[in-house]
Amino acid sequence: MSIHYIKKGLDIALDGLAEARVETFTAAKTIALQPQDFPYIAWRLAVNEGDDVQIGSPVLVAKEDESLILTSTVSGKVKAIVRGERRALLRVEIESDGQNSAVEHGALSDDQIHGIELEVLCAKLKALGVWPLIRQRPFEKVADFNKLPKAIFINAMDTAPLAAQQAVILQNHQEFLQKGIDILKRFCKDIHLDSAVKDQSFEKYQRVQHQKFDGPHPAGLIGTHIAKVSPLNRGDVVWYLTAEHAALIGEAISKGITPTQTIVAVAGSKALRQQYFTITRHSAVADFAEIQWEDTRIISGNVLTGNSIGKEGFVGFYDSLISCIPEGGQQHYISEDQHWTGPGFKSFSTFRLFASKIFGNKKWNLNTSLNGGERAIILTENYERFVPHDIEVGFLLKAIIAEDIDEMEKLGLLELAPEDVALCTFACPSKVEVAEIVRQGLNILEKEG
Amino acid sequence: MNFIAKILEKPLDKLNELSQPGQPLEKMHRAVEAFDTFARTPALVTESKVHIRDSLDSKRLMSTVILALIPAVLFGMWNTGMQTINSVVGLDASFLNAMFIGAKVLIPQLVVSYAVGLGIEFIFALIRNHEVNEGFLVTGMLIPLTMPAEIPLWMIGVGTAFGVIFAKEVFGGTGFNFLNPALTARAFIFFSYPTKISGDNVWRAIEAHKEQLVDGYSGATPLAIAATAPRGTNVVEQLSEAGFNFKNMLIGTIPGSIGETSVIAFGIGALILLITGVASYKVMLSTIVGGAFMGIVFNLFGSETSLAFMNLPWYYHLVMGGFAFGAVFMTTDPVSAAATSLGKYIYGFLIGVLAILIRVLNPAYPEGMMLAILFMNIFAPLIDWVILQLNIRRRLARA
Repeated sequence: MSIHYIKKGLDIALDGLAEARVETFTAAKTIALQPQDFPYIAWRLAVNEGDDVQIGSPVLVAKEDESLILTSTVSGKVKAIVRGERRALLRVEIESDGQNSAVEHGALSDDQIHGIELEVLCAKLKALGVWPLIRQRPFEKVADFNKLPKAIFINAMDTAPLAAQQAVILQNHQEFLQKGIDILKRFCKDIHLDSAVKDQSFEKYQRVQHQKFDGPHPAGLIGTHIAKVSPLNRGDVVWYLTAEHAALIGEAISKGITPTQTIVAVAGSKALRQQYFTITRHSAVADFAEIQWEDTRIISGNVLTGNSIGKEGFVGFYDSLISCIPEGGQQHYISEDQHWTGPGFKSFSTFRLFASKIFGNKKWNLNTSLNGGERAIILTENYERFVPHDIEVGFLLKAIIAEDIDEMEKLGLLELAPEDVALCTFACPSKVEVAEIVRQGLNILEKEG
Repeated sequence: MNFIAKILEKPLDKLNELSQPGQPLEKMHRAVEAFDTFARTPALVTESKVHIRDSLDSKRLMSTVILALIPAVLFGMWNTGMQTINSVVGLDASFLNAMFIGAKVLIPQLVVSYAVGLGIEFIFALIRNHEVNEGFLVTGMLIPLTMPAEIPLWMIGVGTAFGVIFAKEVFGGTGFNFLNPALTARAFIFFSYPTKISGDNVWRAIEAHKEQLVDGYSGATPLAIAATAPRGTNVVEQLSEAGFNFKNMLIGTIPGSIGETSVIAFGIGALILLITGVASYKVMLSTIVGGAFMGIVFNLFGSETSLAFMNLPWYYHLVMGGFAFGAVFMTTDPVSAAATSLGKYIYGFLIGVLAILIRVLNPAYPEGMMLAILFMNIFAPLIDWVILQLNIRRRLARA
């Protein structure tokens, strides 16, 4: 077991953390699969509106790899195929008939897991629709079986604002995590299970290297873990997934059907019940969450990296948190506390420039106000306060903006994902979209191959 | 909603409406936006995946620097007045009168500097259709503080225009400049109109009282005295004969550029900048260390036959001329300084070394701070480049 202490970063204590109480909502009405959860993959439809599907039926098929599919987690009818601008596919909605009939793929015993050919195992995971749960760095894309990784990281912690606790989320399929680890071990001998120093519940799992992390966010991000344990060098690939997703893989193989249940946290000051719910994977948020819908931003994921999904949104493929925070945009006039000339008793900041630093709250009810206007980057060494990697973020951004492909790679862009620099976006007084610039840079590198 | 909001809301909304595309004030959109966001925070909300933001914006950031400059401004005003009062027979020596005389000198300078600089800033923002940057609010205050009391106002106007246009706007505006615009403005005036910004007769506002000067009046600054002290003499004695000692140079009750004399006032400013984290302690500290280092080197090599200036105790250097002012307010400009952590130490240290080196060894420039900072502004990207190469090498070595 190795312990890593992260010094750089910031914990944002938001109001409305979910209580560790789980309520079951078994009857999902609608689920949706959304291509936006998978950048770099073009999907084609495997179903038409009105088609009947079962649990495990293919709904979307990757254009470049026919074996890579997304499967339904309910049985029922395809209710709608929603398209956006220029007919881009936004989501496929499926209405449950409550029957829970499933496509059977046949379970594998422990002996079979160890004996089966790797190609067959991969094909099985893909057919069950759980393969996309495994992602790879660089680029945060679905793992590519043709290039096996140098290490696999299973993340059992999250330090983001309002983050759901893996220990709570995992409670329904705890028994499958060890199996998931053993399955993943077939693809790579070097498996790391990352958990918080304070959380001992993951130390019982075997055949993994335990990595313990402590410190402020991003101490819980996979990007931080990779950088500290096995940094990505040129040509390296690392696979990663959450502990819950590893357990889902174990469950899928053990039962031979697509796993349908997950636990998500609903949190934030605008959530009426701040707690965990057992739901059908990819459910409509409105089916289970109780939220004060007006003037609320509903986010699938956390407030630093999630997608704004609105009232009619669905839980994202990889997400286990729904954050509900107030919409901002209120204008503060000169003489008011939160005007830029005001003392700032109610202003949360990482800078010692507000009265809140001395008299401030312990918990913050932050809204979505930009709190300023966009400017050129002025401060230096500001971004580096939040990135534990050995990377000069400011110069990397300049290389990306200049589209200098060689330089951005040299400066370590491939070691980052947008989520790793989300705090830089948060703390930039010039309101520069650091994470989006990193995303653009990664898109450029990905396209160049 | 308070009463200010009630008064402002409608006119501001109306003004905004008029500056929308297709409306009469369309071309003035950026100017309207600047006034609007000055009076009230913008209604913008986050649109990317980072849904919440820090409360700090560039306006508050820049205002903090201005706040840190206030002690220097107030002291400068009082001291300018006191210098005049001490040089002229029969003036009321009260605090209020000193402030009044000082204000008469400094406020017109500030008005010219802000009017010219902000005017250019607005024009460029309108032409290029970008937001009006707050950076000039600091530059506009720095420029008069580095000027002698007797400088003609039009020179401040010309210098400011040069600094803002050629050190900043031609490179793309605030954030893209590699030279400090305030120092560029000063350097322009220094080389274009040397008689108005150097020598013995420009530092006190006495033009109006030429006939009533006290006996034995001399307008020389401590640096000029130290630089011209004959070989073999004791430079500290020479200074004290002219009425300068460590204490009054520290407090700043001496002639010099308006805002550059009081180390105590900059100390307060430095505390504000460092506690709030707005300025880099790395640059500030290493500049002072660099200056002290070079002063000590001169002390070690100085002998009875060497330049008298070399024997000036090293700590005197830190309170003389523009050294302290530059270390606190000029070197720490994040845009023109080195941006890497180690780079900042190197950048600051070399500024300190060069400033004292120029000061002592180059008789043509009694003050080296301005040139040292501008010189290192040019080298800052090179320093950063070296640090980046080290970072890249570490990454390659790991593989």
